[in-house]
Amino acid sequence: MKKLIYIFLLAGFMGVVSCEDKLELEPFDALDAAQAFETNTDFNNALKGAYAFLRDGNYYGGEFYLLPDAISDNLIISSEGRFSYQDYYLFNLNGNIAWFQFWRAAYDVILRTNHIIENIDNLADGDFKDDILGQAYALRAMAHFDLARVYSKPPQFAGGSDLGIAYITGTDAANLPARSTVGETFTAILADFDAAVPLIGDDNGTGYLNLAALQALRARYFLYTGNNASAITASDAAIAASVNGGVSTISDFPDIWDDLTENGVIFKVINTNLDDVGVGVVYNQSSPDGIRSEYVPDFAFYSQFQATDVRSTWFETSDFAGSSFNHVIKYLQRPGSNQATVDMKVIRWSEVYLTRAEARAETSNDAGALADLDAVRSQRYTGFVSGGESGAALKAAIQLERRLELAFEGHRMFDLKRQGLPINRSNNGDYSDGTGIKPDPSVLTLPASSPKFQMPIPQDEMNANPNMQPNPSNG
Amino acid sequence: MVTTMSFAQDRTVSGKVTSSEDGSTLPGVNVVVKGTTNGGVTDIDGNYKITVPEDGGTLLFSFIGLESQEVEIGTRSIIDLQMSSDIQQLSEVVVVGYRSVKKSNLTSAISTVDGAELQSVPIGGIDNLLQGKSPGVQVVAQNGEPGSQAYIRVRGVGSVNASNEPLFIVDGVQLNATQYNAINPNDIKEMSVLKDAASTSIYGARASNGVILVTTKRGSETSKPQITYKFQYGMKQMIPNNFEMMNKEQKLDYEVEIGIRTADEADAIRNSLANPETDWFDVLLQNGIVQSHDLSFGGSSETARYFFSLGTYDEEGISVGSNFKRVTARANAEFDLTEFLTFGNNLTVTNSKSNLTRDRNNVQNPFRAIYDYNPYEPEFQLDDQGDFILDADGEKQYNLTRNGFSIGEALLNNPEEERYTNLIGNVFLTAKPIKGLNLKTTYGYNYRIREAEYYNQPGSVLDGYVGDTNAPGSKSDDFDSRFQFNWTNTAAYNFVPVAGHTIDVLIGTEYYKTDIRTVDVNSKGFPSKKFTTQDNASEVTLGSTTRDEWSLWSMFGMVSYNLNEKYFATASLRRDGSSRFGANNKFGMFWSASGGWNMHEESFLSDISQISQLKIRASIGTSGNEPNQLYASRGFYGFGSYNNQTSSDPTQLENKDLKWEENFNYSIGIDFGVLDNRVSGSVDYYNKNTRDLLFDAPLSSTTGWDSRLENIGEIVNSGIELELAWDVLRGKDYNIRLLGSAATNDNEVLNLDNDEQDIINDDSGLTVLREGQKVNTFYLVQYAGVNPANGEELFYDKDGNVTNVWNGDDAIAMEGKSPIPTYFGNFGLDASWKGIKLGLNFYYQGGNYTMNWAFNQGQLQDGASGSRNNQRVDAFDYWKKPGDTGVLPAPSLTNNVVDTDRYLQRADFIRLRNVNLSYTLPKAIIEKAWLQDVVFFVQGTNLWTFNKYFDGDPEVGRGSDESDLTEMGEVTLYTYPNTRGFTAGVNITF
Repeated sequence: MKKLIYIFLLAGFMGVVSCEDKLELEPFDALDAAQAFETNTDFNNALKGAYAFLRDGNYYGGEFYLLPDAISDNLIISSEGRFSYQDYYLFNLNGNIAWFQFWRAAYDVILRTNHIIENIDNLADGDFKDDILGQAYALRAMAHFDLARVYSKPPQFAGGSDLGIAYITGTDAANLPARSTVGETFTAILADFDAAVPLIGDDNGTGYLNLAALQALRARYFLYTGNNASAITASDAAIAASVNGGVSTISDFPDIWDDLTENGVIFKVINTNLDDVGVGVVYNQSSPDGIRSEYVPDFAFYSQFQATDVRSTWFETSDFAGSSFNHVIKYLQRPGSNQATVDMKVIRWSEVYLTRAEARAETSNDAGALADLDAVRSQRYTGFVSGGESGAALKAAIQLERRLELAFEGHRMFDLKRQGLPINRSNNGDYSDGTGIKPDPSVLTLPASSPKFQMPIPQDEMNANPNMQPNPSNG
Repeated sequence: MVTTMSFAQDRTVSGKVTSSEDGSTLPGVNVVVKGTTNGGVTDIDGNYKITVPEDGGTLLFSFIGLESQEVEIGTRSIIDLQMSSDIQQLSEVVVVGYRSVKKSNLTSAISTVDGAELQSVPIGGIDNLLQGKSPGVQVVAQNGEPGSQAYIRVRGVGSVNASNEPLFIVDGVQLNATQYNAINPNDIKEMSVLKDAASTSIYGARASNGVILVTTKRGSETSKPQITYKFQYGMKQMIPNNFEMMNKEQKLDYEVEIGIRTADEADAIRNSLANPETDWFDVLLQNGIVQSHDLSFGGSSETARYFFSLGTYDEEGISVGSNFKRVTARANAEFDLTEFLTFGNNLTVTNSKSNLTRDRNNVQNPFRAIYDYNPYEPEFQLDDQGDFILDADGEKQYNLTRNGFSIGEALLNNPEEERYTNLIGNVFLTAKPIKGLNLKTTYGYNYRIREAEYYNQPGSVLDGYVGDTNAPGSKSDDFDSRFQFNWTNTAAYNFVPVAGHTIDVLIGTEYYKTDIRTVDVNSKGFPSKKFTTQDNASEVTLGSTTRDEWSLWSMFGMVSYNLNEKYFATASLRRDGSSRFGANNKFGMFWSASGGWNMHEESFLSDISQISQLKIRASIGTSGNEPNQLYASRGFYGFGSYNNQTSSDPTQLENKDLKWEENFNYSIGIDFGVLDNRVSGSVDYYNKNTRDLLFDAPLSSTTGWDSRLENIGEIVNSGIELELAWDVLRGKDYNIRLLGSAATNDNEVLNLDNDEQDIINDDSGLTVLREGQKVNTFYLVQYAGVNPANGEELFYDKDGNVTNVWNGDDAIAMEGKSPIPTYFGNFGLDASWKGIKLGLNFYYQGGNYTMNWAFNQGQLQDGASGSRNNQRVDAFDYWKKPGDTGVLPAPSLTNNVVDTDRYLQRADFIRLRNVNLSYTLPKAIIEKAWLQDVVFFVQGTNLWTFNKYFDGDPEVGRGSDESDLTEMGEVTLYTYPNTRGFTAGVNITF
């Protein structure tokens, strides 16, 4: 008996000695980073990973569609909402209220593209490699461009020492970059856009960038930086590369917002029911008591949507908490999805035509400009008859149409900024008839020269990175 | 086995030692000639033979658990002796790492809590019960939710990112913090809190925050079975606040004053029957009910000892929809298979079920809603006549309020339930093949199943907000299982090479493995709220499983030496390998050394009759703290999806050097007792230095990363612990004992290896780690009062100039102000007179600061958007005319509520933690009813609080779980409030 016990216990002691090798445990849901870029599938997955981060709620997943409209004159805050983002709306900006998570969200996308670019030579030369690399360059440029639009001046208004953003092309996590100048920043963005042109595929589907989308983004870039000639060339190239037609027709148009058609959409970030990113929650939520809006259209702006304008379907006038509001329902719901879960349209054909229209008008090609403008207007108004505008009237018509067409898609503040225009809110109230609670008088205007057009650098970044320089709006 | 030493002139004395209880022979009894090292031990038949000086002297007989005896030899050559068990000494055997030690032989700082102190208190978790029970152990409730956990800090805060919770071991099995409430406090025999290096080091890489060892009850030594029944019943309430919220009139006045409502609008509401005064505390809160039953059987036979128990604990919370119900069962049994082989098990099975309220920072949390909802907003919609507006079914309709959400409705229609099943225990086999050798192998298991359900019922308000109108209602079911086993093997050998020199050696191995799996399924589209399971749903919206593992492999050893019960020395060594460590640091080695000196045994003190006990202890050594994250050292690409196709992206940065936090720790202590131990106590000094802190080192967000887990930095905690008991009166029928403890903690960040950069807290942004400052020193812009000229809020900028612009860059570290208390302790009284007993225990802590977001900032919004919610009455005390000073800023809708030290408050308090008054029926009465013991009691918890500086409850645990604000005492938000309770009950022993 005793012997048996000794044997049992000794076996126990010896048996567990082999546990030493049981300390190497692999996770069940991740690859070792060193093995992440070996096959074509790996690159395909990684590229999708970069797109997936555009869905971030601080980026195209929400805030990027609200804040440029809320910080300008398209929206005013609703007195029956939750007062979300009120500090932005009131221009109460500082490092802690700095559109701060967008900074991180955009650089997350950039890191994901940089990993692909760094490892690209693991792929065999050929179309697949080119397309992956082209999309990575294009995404990297787009994310930097979005950052530059938020945090820096447009180059045409910047002095030589004005700061842009940090242009990141590596994956070193210990990097503590300083900001480039505005000029350097925009040069680097263009270099990436240009590098993508010969590489990117022609037809990757609207959920991915392809040549047409890339050229459309380049056209946006050139217009923003005041380079009308190149804006025209890039628009031409985009239209030439189009795989799904041009401006959506008036009959298709309402279906775009329910994701029932891709007509008119060049690139959108796919938001599946599984992803369930509530893009439109930044605007409103519907409840048993009606739609509860955070922001409603500035009444003067709202009044410019004519009854014949198909875009008036973006609004619903209804009561909440006993008051009537004009609610923006552009992102309210697509059939079969949870509230506010819709695809995130990044760039549409109508923008390309309006961009070319503006660039042509600015370069005195009124006929071409009018044609482009009418290409959009004719598909938005029932019974449309061209106004036949020219000169200043044409330019004004183009700007109006741009504001109407791209409303609530995160353009307004940038369109004012690139033209050196101030923000002027209309001093109407938030109710559906323009009565109700008006904006505080101190926030009715923001002069074009205000440093608040350049968002403060987030305080977290200032804390973590001693080389990071603040913006004047950091205070 | 008899060892002898020769003297010049000596003779032999022999004899037999037997038990006075049953006459059985007693082997292993120490027999020493007093004042010499000459001695031996009795053999298996209780016989001893010892050489003594010719002139006799005194023989000293001693054995653990038996009362020591001194016998004059005289001229006798045969001395037989009967020894009786020493009740006092029996209880003084302390469970320490992998063994037990006589308390008087300890060389380390260990405090013990008798299970009796933890029983019949209306609190669900054993962690919360520890508050004020053990010096140097700070216990703060995370919140007041039924069954919720506590923060336990042993000798300060030594970690920032890894756990600060002690290693919690029940009968040799490691518990997870969510399981503290799975143990029935009535089953506990004793808890040992290991605090210093000497005691914790043998637990290696998990031990740097101290170790709490819980031993559950064994069968009573008396062979007669003992049956005990305990019952208590009582109620609980939110601890009242020390500030006042506005009533309807006041709030309307305030809204008019600050310009968010016109006087006409306010008057309309004032006079409207649709807006009666509503006290939201009354509407949303209720009296909680606590009820518990406990039945246990314990006993023994010649070859077996057993303890069985069954207990229930039900607590109905102070809000609708919050409760905690638990059923525990325990079976502890031990069988002697042969004389040298014992087999046994300890097993507890627990089922608990709770309904939860959401701990979030908006009115979806009832404890925010009670403050936010306005007193003119009714619970249900009313018409102009003040009558209920009924829906089509004739039901009252909830008023969504200006917050757009009725929590009263949600508590009914969005129920959230959590259920735990815990199976915790072990089976063991011990063998004593030769004298002094004790081999033990233990298989411990800890299986926890968690099931959580959340049902957003179709037709509920929340479903209207977030649901799909085409598929109403949504349900989520989370299921996770966590299986942990450990196989622990120890060999202990006790021998006496030379009489008076006792040596204990222990070696062991231990292997831990944990496997955690989760299954989550969500669906939407329910036919009606009656159907709650997902087989009724029209569409599954999420289905996912995860799996994680963790393993630990250890070898350890210990040797201790005892010279004549006078001098003691102990050393230990442990080598831990963990799956969590980086490839370059897979194994950690931890060591300790300690010594003790029972000075009262020395001749120069033994003559001083006033000194009953005097002992000096000292220890030094290391221990570690594992990263919380299981795979933190690895660089990973994880998976997601884009467009319903696989996507991958970098999810973690690699750090091959990642390792444990290393704790270097020394302490020195004195135990004393004077005047027949009428006054006794201990004093300890400790110094705990934590190096290689696990840290999310902040990275520039431009890299696409926020941080990487690294071992950087060093923190030191030091302080003094004092424990004192004074028997003021000792008598046959009456006793009065005063007791108290005090502990200080001085905490400092020594080094961050981070180019002297500040590290700002990620979650709150309110605190900083800076060399030379306390951990989590508040980092805030300084409030400079109000501009007397115009009522503007003013601040100090970085250079100390007053400005009206708040800038986060002007934040400064508030020297000495952190959420960590600088002192804490308890004091109390135990008094008895005949059958009546009174126990009082006060807990206190202080020197800590809390950012009072909830009550100082949230409910004093200075006219900013939050002022639309109800406000404190003091909100009226604002700047009204030039020259006003010492007031709040002039309210304005455009005011920005910014974080400044205006909201930072000192949170010192003294709280009457427990009062217990009991009456034991006289034996004469109960014996006739075949009863051994009957005790009736009434009890109060948290009845009174002294709080000089703080608005609200100063015992601040976490701020808000769903906002990730869970740093102990850092901020207040609207987590479940702490409660006070009154209970009455009876304990009966048959």
